[in-house]
Amino acid sequence: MVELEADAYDLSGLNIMVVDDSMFMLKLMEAMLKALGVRRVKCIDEPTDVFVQLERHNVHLLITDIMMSPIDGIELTKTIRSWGGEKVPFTPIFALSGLTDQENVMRAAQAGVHEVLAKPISPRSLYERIHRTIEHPADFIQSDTYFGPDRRVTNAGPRSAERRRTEPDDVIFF
Amino acid sequence: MPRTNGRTLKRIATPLKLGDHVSRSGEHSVSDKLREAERAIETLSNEFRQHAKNDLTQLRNASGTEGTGTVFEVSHELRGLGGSFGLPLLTQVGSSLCEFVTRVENSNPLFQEVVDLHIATMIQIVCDRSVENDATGQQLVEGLLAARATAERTLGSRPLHAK
Repeated sequence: MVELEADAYDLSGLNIMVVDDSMFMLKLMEAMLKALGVRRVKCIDEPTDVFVQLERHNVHLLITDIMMSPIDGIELTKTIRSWGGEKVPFTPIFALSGLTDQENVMRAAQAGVHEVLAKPISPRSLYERIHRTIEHPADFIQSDTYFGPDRRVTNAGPRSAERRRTEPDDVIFF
Repeated sequence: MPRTNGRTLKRIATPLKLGDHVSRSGEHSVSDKLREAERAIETLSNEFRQHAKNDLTQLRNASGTEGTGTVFEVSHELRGLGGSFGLPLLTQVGSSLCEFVTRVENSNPLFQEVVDLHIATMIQIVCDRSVENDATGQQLVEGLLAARATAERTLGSRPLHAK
């Protein structure tokens, strides 16, 4: 478990967008985020509205459900990663999923999400992921087949000198 | 630019860092914030139970006339939310129903019986707070899962993700 108490953050300056086709999940996420101190939470139940809103609202973090229609969270992430503009493609993205088997987590990772949160969500798990993303902002990797966060940083913290020597550079690229 | 396995890789520093928009919190501890969030969830809890009860009652009353897709949508939503509201059994039964309608073909009355049994169990969990808090709740769910397993042996099922 992440040691949180020593590194408490004031999250009131964050601008977070939540995308889910369940109105109740949006309500839950908004309540949790506001209780954690986030003042600006934009909830969207129609995934196709996200692209316009992302540019309009200067979003710092996007939290999206995976299983939605007409486009799911995987397609949404891929579209954001290939979006024009200087900042939007770099938006930190957390994916929410009730299906956290390896196949679905891999699909989300390959699309370029920073974190996958398993439903049901708890305030602690949500805060831990935000905390980790603050502490370890991932560089982005652009390859022929992938554009997204360097998951060697986001999933395990920055690599130590020893790990950099011993791990091949392509351990997480697909 | 480094190359890995013949692929060109470029590392780019992100211009969007959450750390640029936060500061160290002096006023409230993390524990305070988490307690505040738990209170916020508790405030929504009754509304969630009512929401779940309404959706499940509609499904029960429609018994079989709603498509499998609707059954999946409702149970998928409730499995995602149940645990957050202190209803882990609702999440467990919702997951079971999602798996069942994904794995089993709706071509036999036994299919609908198992679906109805799941819906009735979820209504009981949502309406009776004691179900989550004593051993009978777990026994209820174990009985349901055993009935589902028997039905799947009878009806045949396919692996998950096949649909």
